[in-house]
Amino acid sequence: MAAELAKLLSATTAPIYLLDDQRKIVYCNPACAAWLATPAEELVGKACAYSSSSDASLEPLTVQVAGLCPPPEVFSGKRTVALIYGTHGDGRLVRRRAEFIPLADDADAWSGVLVVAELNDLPADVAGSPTELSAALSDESLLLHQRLQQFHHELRRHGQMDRLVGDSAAMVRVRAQVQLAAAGTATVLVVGPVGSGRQHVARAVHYARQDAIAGSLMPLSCALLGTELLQSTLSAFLGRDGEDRRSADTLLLGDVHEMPAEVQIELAGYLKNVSSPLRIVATSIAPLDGLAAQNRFRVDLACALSTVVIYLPPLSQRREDIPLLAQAFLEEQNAHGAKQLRGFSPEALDQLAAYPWPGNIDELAAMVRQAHDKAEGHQVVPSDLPQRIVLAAAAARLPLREPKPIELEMFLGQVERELIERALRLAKGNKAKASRLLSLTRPRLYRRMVQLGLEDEADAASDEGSVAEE
Amino acid sequence: MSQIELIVMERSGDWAAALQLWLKPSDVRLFETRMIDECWHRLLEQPTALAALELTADSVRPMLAMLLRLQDELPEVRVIVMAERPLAAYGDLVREAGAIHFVVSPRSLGDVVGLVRRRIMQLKASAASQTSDLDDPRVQVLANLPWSDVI
Repeated sequence: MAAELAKLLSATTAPIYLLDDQRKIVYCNPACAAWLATPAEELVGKACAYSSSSDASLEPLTVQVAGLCPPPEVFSGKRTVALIYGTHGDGRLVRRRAEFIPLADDADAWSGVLVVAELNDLPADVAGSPTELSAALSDESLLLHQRLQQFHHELRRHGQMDRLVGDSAAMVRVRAQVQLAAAGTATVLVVGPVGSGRQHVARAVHYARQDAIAGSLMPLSCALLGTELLQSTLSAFLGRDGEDRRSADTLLLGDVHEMPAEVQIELAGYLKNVSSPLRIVATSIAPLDGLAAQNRFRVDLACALSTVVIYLPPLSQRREDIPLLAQAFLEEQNAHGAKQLRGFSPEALDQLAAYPWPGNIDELAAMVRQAHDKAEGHQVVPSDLPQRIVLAAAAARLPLREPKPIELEMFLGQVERELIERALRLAKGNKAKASRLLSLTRPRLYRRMVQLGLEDEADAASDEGSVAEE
Repeated sequence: MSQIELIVMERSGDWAAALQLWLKPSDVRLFETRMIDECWHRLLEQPTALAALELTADSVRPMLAMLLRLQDELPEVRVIVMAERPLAAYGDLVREAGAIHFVVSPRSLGDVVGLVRRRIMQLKASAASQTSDLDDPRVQVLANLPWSDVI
């Protein structure tokens, strides 16, 4: 039966191919191979993933296979007619209508897609620009499909390694660690201060993977997660019945140090019970083992998430990168509009270098956007910079200020008074209990209370008298 | 709970009406917009706001461009995307672009209540940490004394 079916499909002149549940080509008939001018054995095993044929960095075969990708509604079980794309041996881009038939089992679980193309290519006059093509076909699903392909490409570009700018030793190390992490499957923790680009580095780990083209990235904002939301998100992302979807997918746990305790329990349980090929990348403002030592994070989850740790330094510790970063942000602004600036004047760069950048890269990027808007010349000059940066540069030129003295006796008294008050509140006013909490004798507690003005001398004497009688 | 602004961007006002059924007016102040530009300007004024944006077949491109721009320019804004069920296939894409939640039915808006509540707590904790003068060693010592829960 199977042999007869294979013989029948091989003899069919219409291109036919079959995708599995991971969008990999598992069968391709000779007509399809001939249409794509590519041997069937090279096509089988390749994943059809959203891509843009304009991406020069992609292999020709990857681009070829991307043209066979089903439109999104097929994955929700809808039988659809859409276009597929191929490149002939002479380099011509050709298009055909094809029917996408989703295959489901008895349990309605999606298991693959059968694609049957028409016998002939669409005429060249239909195959114009995407806009003309869409108008000609009046095919809403095609339009959405094309957009989906294009936006997956743009998301990847937005998270690429070349946006990790900097020549400092720290950034060279970060880029090397990202490459290493991307090549493996271990969980990755990106640690850095607020505004240092943790999310961007985490995304770069996903997008730097060879198979990122076939996988999705699911970012979660850990501070806002509840247990139900974590469960529903994970089950939706991983597929029905908790079954893992694709090994190329990445779960990005943003600001995992803010994850509520009950969600930590849920996630730790999930990680223990599911042997998942899913990659997890997390970001945090502090190493999780340190937080676990302070009982602020689960130890088992801290270990599970910290296999590879990438540390991002604050911008103040890589000042040599500031000119490069500022120029990169300026060029991004140039790309957005008609206003084109060449760069920063040397005086402006000196002022940027003198500022401490407590908000790190995010603050620098925001400052460059403001300066770009304000600049009237062909470059950013000091008068285009915010006042706080100009003042910080001026302050840096002044001699160091004498440290402000601390009145030690008064300060220690303040600390002692605060602790005695807290102990008394904890002991509900019971001085004997408070003295035990403070590891003091009762007479010594009374004396200190009098000295610190917490009790009258007469009251203390009467209390001390009762202590002596006891 | 103190109030937070939820900036809604949609064509008709239907999603805002559904959100109002789920959210207490004392927790959330809804600010309705109809255009991306209008929404963007409001977000510039409220850079820690929550935004609920409607995705339509015609708005996929500007919506994703806006989500990417938010990541770069307003990283503290949190976005929920709402869409009609036929656009469910776009869920992964908008999540990947930075949305914290994606709903395809007004009945699923119950999850948004928890998100809003946790966002308010997060902002309050952040404000508390910013108001203390962490450069002063005395403030640091006093902030780390034992039995802080009995204050």
